[in-house]
Amino acid sequence: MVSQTEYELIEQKVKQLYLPGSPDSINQLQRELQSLQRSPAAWDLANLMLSSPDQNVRFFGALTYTVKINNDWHSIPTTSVHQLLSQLLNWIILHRSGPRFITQKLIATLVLALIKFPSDASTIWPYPIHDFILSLSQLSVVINTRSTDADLNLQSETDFAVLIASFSRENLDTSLLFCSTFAEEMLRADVPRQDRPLLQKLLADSTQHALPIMTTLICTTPSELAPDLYPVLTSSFKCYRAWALSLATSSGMSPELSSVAAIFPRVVAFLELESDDTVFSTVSEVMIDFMEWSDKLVTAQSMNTLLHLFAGPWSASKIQQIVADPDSAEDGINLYFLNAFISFGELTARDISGSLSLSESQRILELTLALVKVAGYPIEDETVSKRTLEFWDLFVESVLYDDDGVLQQAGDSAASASKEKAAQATTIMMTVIESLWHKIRLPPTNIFSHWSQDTRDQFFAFRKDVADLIESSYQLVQPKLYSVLVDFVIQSTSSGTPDAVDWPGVEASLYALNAISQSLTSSPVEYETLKILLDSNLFHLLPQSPMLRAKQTSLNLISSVIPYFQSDPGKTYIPVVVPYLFQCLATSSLALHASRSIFQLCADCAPVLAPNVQDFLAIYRDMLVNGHDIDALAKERIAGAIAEVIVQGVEELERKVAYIGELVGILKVYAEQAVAAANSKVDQQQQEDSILPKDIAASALKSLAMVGKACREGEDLISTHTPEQKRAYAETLAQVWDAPGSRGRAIKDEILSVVVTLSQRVPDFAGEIAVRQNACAVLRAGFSERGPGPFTVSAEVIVGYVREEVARVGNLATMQPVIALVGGFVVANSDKESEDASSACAELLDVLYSGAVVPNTCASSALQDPDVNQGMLEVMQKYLARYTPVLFSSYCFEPLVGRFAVEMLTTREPLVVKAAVKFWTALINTKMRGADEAELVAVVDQVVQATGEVVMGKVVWAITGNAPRSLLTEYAQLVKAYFRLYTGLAQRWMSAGLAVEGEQQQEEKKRARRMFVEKIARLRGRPPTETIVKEFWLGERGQEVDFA
Amino acid sequence: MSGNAYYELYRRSSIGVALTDALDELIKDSKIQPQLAMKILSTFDRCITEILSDQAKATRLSFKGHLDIYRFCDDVWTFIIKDVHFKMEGNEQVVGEKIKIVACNYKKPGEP
Repeated sequence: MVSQTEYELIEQKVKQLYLPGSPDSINQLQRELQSLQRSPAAWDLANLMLSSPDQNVRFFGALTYTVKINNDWHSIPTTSVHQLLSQLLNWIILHRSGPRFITQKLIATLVLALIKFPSDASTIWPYPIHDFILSLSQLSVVINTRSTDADLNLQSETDFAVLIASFSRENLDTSLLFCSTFAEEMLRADVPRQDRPLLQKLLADSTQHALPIMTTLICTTPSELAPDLYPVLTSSFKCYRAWALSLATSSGMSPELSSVAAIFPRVVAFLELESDDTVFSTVSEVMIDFMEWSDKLVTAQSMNTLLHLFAGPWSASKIQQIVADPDSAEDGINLYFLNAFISFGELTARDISGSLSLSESQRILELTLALVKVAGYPIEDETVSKRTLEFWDLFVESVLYDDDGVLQQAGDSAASASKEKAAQATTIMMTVIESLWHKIRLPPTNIFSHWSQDTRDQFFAFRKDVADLIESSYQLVQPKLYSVLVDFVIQSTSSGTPDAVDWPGVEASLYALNAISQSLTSSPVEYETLKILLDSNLFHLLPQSPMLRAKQTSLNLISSVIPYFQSDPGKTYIPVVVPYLFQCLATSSLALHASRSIFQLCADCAPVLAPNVQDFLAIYRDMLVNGHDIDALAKERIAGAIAEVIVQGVEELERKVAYIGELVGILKVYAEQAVAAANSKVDQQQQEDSILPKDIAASALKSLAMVGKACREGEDLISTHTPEQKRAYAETLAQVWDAPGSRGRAIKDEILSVVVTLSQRVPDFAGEIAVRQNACAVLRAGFSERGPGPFTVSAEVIVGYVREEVARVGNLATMQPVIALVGGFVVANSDKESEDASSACAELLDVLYSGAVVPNTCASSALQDPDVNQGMLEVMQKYLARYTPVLFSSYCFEPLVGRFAVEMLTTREPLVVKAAVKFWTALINTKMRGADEAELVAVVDQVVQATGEVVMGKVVWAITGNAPRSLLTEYAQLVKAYFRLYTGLAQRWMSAGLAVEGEQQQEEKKRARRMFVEKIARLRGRPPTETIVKEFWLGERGQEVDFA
Repeated sequence: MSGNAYYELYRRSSIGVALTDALDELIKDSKIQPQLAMKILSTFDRCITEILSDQAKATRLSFKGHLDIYRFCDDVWTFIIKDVHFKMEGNEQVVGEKIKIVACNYKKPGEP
């Protein structure tokens, strides 16, 4: 019990809580009061507070009840539940006329108490709505408990109706609040699954008593209802919606649900009360919610009511108002109407598409089309047209696909009907797309510049939505639309003067054509129409267009129809398009887009473009000299593109060499820009504003690598030659590229000089990962060339380069590209079997070991670079596959394999562990090589046996619970490999590893481990080895339950 | 959806694997019980489904390729597509040799 003095102090604190104060003092008060709310005395305190004259204290009393029930409901005996419910109901009766927030809290608490004891509710309080209403009416607590049915004191249906009819407005409002809360809380997400059926039954059983309350006002004639009752009417709608949705969510069709759904048309009738915003908005919200659950809540009769409503004159007048003044749809009655109209359209799109001849369907389509035609720019001036897009999408989908989502074919049994339907729908969609075409036109700059960034973003999002609709509609409207759009462009550009062109219209047309082009299949009929477009003045006028966006969109369109240019008829137009693309390179905002298409077209259509090489080189030189703000990626792509044209398109070798020499010369100038920038003393501020010298260096190298890639691909052209021709060609190439004093040799030296200068001679670039990466990429480009070429270099050059890079390494993290370069060299030379290649590989391994592995593994584990470790393991695997004797005979074999590769098996880096496991698995699997390698297999055998115990020790460490679960699959692979090829030895090694703890192990654990080894040995690497390893891992961790 | 109605397919994503490893560590250190880990994973199943559905920025992407294999089993569609060309916003393109698409119904069978 709380003494009067104590209570007064508490009440004082509650009052203080609601007064302004410092956050610290309020936090302190909250902590104290929360502690009191959880104390055993809280029940008494709650009752005392609910008797207080202060409304805040009364609210806190109600809140205390909630906290107490939430915290202590487990300890409340069933016998006390009745008392608890009675007390709460009594407080509601007493406070029904007081502030609503207190009544609300008390009602929520009462419902909470009911939810917490669902299994007892059916006996303790089987008819809560009935009793609540009766209690309010009698002003005394009535709680019917069910010992037997005879004990129930229920009102007859008529008496109950009379009782409600006599209710005061206050009682009606309180009852509606209880019904709403009851319905909403029944389906709270945190209600335990097992309690749900009981609560659903309680809800269903209570429907008979809730309905008369909800319908008291809903079933009146709207025009006869006094305006002062509108707030209660709104509560009635909300209660009705809560009840209906709870019933619909919790069960299938039931008599209760049907009786609730039958009232829906009465709700819709209240739309005529347009004078009251709140009533109108609530009714439209109820309608929208019901339409979402239409299969359960909208009966055929209701659907008919809605159809007549939305296709009728009232709806038409509303749409007319919106079209005349789109701002009116931003809020108020018109907004609510529009929400409901659009929801209805989306709900019935399929029905409308199936009954296009019905006047109601036609009316709905006309009204929706009127919304598309609203004047003004979307988003900035109006948001109405945007809202119709979903409807049109659904409409098109319904026409094209049947109920099962299968595309409807014109030749189906119902062919004539479906053809007629498709024809009608095509006409409608052509009109819709035409209207939307007007909507996606870009505004003049003077208007666009005043738009906020958010408006611009939303406008472009709208354009994308329209593009999606055009794409999905295209199956319906077919080439007709393509022709219409192309015709517009041709007419607009027919005068041949840029000033006479409707550029926003042309841009919108190209935008729509781009959307369609993305969905075209190979060799479509539309390509015939595309030819007309390419023959027009468009690409001659576009460079002079004042509208940048038109050029951007044209670039997107070109990119979308690349397959056409790759076809024979399309190749004719490449000389039209590619020069235009090169012209676009001069504009920095277009360069990236243009370069992508150039790269694709040059790679695929090189011979057609060969006559233009000289022009391309001139444009490229200018681009590198003057286009400082052009994206580096564009410069790199263009280098690759021109190289593709030279290598694949130019037939005469001498000219080819001359052009490559010119291109390399241009790139050398680009590289010199990087060196000059690094050498000039540019202050920090200037550097932040412009491209950094190291980025220019990296880009110059990347451009060279792109040229190298093109040279590699060019060699495929000679694959059709006879062996003799190939030999002769190779000799010619050697003369051109390798002979001392030749032009080719000079180009090659120039390339090497750029690589060495940028990556090794400029101190500012030392250790820059991007520079090193791209320098290595240039050298790697030569590995793939089949014969002598500008990028092929001797093994000696590679060894020298790697040796110097390793010697100069400042930061181990930048070593990874060099390691990958060695890996590439090993793979590229694996089929040459020359002494030189073999000794170069051996030398490279030693250099890498001393330069990368030793310093990395000597560093503390925190400073070690995982990329270096992973890269080394991958290189070792390449040696194992291609130069096994080199690996085995290296002086660093023992530290590399016996120590480094073993240690990496238990590092914390997952990718390193995976690489280590792959290496060891590959090593073990070497045993499977053929008899012709018997000598090698014998050596490998010895290595596996010598390292077996220590490697298995690492595996045992991992699978006895120390490795993360995500790496178990990898370790299991290694276990499989050992047990498949070395079963007996593997069993011995694993047993030894598992017996490390020896005498201290419990018998049970020993037995489990022994059984595990036996199981694994029996499986010999077959399934389910992995599952058993995982189970063993779980057991070793002491986890009986596998939670994942 | 309620309770355990969420698919567990995101557990094999990088973030799911990392979470599972982290939970394993916590269990090993006796900081949590496996039952709590189960609860956390089922919360993860729900959250990642909802977040991807509601909050992941919708980047438009279209792709074309050759449908190699498709199947529909237990309300799960699986498509294996070869030579796939992805076209992202701004006509950015990516080419993939082979992709696998696993598509589940957002609502499980029998749910409203």
